[in-house]
Amino acid sequence: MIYGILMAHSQQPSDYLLLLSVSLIALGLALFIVFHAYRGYQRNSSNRMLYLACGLCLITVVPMTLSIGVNSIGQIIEFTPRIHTFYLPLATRVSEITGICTLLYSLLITPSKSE
Amino acid sequence: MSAHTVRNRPSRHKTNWATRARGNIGVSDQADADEILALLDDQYAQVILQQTRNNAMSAKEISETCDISISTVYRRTERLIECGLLAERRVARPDGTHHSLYEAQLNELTVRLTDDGFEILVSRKTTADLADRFTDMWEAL
Repeated sequence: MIYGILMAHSQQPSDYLLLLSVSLIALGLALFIVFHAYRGYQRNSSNRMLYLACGLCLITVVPMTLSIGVNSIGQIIEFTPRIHTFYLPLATRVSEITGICTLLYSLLITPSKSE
Repeated sequence: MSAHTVRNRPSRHKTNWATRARGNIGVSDQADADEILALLDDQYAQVILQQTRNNAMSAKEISETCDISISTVYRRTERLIECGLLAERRVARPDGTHHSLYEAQLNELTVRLTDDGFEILVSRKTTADLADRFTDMWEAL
């Protein structure tokens, strides 16, 4: 059945599975780094690490999740092409811009490891 | 690995001590060789280092397990931190306050007799936890 849906999108199922697994590997690695940044914040109560974790999350995890989510749902429900060509890239870019700003903020604030 | 040498002023005894610290923690010590040796001679400091070698403990826990008064623990930990033999980590509580955990940094100490006098080599334990090393790296930027 999945095969049929995938074929309807004129895409090889092996292509889709390969893309999905590569995306999941990237997502896992990104989550690993974000998790350790967050633990660094918790263990050392360092605000800079909190912003670093948020920034990395917005740059990596959020766009990847959006892309995987939209593409997976797109396999089942027919989206208008505008979602793939406009809304998804727009959301990705906005998330990345916010993430980069958060990273910059993390670099600019004075270290507040301890009060 | 940052290795640097701190040469002391010749002391009253005309001995020339030099300390060298190596390790990949941010080394900020102008650590006095005399102070390091005095601390290692101190039984309370010894016990504190032993107890905190493998697990970070709060001052209260150190005081209870080693049967040392809490004020002595604070005095010794402060001196040990100044010499870079002990690390302090502040952990936030949910109510917004902090409490400190102490963890031994000392791994090995070598005293060597050279033509210039004695040389002390302090090798520090690397911080094992990835999250802590990540924090140190980012905080250093």
